[in-house]
Formats: sequence, C-alpha cells, structure tokens
Amino acid sequence: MHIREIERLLEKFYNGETSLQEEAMLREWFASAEIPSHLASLKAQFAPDLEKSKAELPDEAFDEAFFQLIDQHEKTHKAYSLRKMIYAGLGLAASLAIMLSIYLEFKPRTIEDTFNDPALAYEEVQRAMLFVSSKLNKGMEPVKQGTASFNAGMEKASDFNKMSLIKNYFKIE
Amino acid sequence: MLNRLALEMTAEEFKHSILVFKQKLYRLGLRLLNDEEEAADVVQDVFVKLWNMREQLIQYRSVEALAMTMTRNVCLDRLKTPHRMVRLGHQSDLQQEASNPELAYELGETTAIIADSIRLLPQQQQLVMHLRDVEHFEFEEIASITGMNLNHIRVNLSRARKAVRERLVKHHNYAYQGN
Repeated sequence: MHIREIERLLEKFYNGETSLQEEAMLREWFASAEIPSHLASLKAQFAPDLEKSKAELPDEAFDEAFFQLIDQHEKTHKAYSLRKMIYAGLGLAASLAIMLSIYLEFKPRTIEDTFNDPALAYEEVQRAMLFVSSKLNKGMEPVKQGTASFNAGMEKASDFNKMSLIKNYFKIE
Repeated sequence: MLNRLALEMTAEEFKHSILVFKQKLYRLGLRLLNDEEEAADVVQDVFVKLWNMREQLIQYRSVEALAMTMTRNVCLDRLKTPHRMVRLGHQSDLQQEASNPELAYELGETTAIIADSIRLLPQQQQLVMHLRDVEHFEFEEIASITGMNLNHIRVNLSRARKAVRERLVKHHNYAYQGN
C-alpha cells in the first residue's frame, strides 16, 4: 500500500473516523511492511492484540464453576419453595382447626326430630313413658312406706283429741 | 424427567452461545476495575443474570452487546460502592507493576506503555478505546453498550488514540536520545 494512503488512513484513525476494515488494513500494514522511521513509533498502537492476551479466564474451569453455581442456586430455590409449601400447608390446617372449633362452640343447638315415621315415633314415646312409669312405681314404694309410718304416728297423735274431750268434760262441769 | 432433559439442553446451548463471551467480558471488567479477582466475579455475576433471563434472550438483537452492557453497568456499580476505597490500594499496586521495568520487558516495552497510557485516560475514553481498538466493536454496538451517541464516541476515541500516540512518540524520542 502506498505510504500516502497509509498517512491518510492514519489521519482518519486519529480522528476516530476509520471503519473496522480500514483499521484492520492499518494493523496488517504495521505488522508486515517495512515501516518508515517517522511512523515506527506508532507500531505498538497497531499490534494485532492490543493488550488482549495479557490475562484470560480459565475456559473449561470457568464453565464448570458457573454451572455448579447455577445448580446450587436452583437447589436452594427448590428447598426454599418446598419449605414454603410446608408452611402454607401447616397454616391452612391451623386455620381450618380454628374455624372448626369456632363453629362447634357457637353453632345453634336445635332439637332435631329423629323420627320420620309417626307410628314408630309413637311407639318410642310409649316405650319411654312406660319406662318412666315403671321407675315411678318403684320410686313410690319408699314413699308409701314413709306415709304408712307417718299415718301410724298420726294415729297416735290423734289421742290428743281425747284431751279435748276431757276439756269439754271439765267445761261442762 | 422430560423437564430436566430440556433444562440440560438449554445449559448446553447457553454454554456454546453465551459463555463464549467470557473473555471479552473479563477484559472489559479488568479494564474498568483493574482487579482480576473482581473482574472474574463480575463476569460470573453477569452470566448468572443472563441465565435467569435465558428465555427472553431471543428478543435481543445482540446478546453479546447486552452482556457487555451488563458488565459495564455492574462494574460501574461496583466502582461506586464504598468498599472499593480499600481496593484502590490494590489498583495502584497493579499500576506500579505495569511500570515495573522487568515486567515491562516481559510484555514488550511498548505494549506496557500502551497499557499504562490507556489506564491513565478518563474512564469514558478508556471504555470507548477498549471497545474499539481491543474488541473491534462497530460504532453502533459501542453506542448501545455505553449509551453514548456516535459523535460523542468518535470524539472520545480520537482523544484517546491521540493521547496514546503522544506517549508512544515521547517514549520513542526518549529512547532515541538515550541511544
């Protein structure tokens, strides 16, 4: 390439106006050609890998470490959501228990008719009445005994009536 | 089981289409943070973010430019945090290392001068020069990565290139006089 062309490209380059292709041409020229002394000092600026090769990340080791990190992230995320689900389940169970106990505490107590068949109901009532009466008769026994001795006592007490007879007798006197 | 299989395939795809940007992202991180460990950390951070949005990546015209933008943003965020103040000591160590004559000899003297002079540029000039002269991005891509307009990019690039040239010419003259 003619030196005039190179100088023109260099001027464009330092004005920030060269295209990527023109910059590649300059790098190529500085790498291969016999460089005139007045441009020799610029050679380093067109080194093909300007500072590029200095430091690099380890390729495979980096990828491996990265996917390990991702795995870890996803595992902790999974564990976290499982724990959240357990907590949610426990919360749901607890609130159901509370609601149930409130319902049981405050539910309206209605007496429910357990019989649909009137005949059956009648029979049942009769049975209940008989049961009550049998118990009642049994209960009446001691009462009868009690009243008998009461009456016996009362008979003796009626002797006091004789006193009035005597009193009457003396009044007449 | 099927789900797991699909996930593994995406991981493989991710590795081949996204993780391959790692060196570019790392170099950008290193350029902005001057700290190898932190730059590597930033790259991993950006990849985790990209992994989490892997279903949406298809919407982006250039995932590479997106990854570069994210790297730039994460780096600038880290530069703002107070704990960076502690790490600044580390940065100046690195600068001294670069000016260390032995290392300079190893790297090639002029390459070290370039590295040094780029590092001394204002951040925007550094960023633009890095994206163009190290990574060879198109101006449109640089615009989307940096959020700067094309004119602003050209101005910054021109200033950066001229500053580096100045250092090189000075060094050349000094070496010439030294001989």
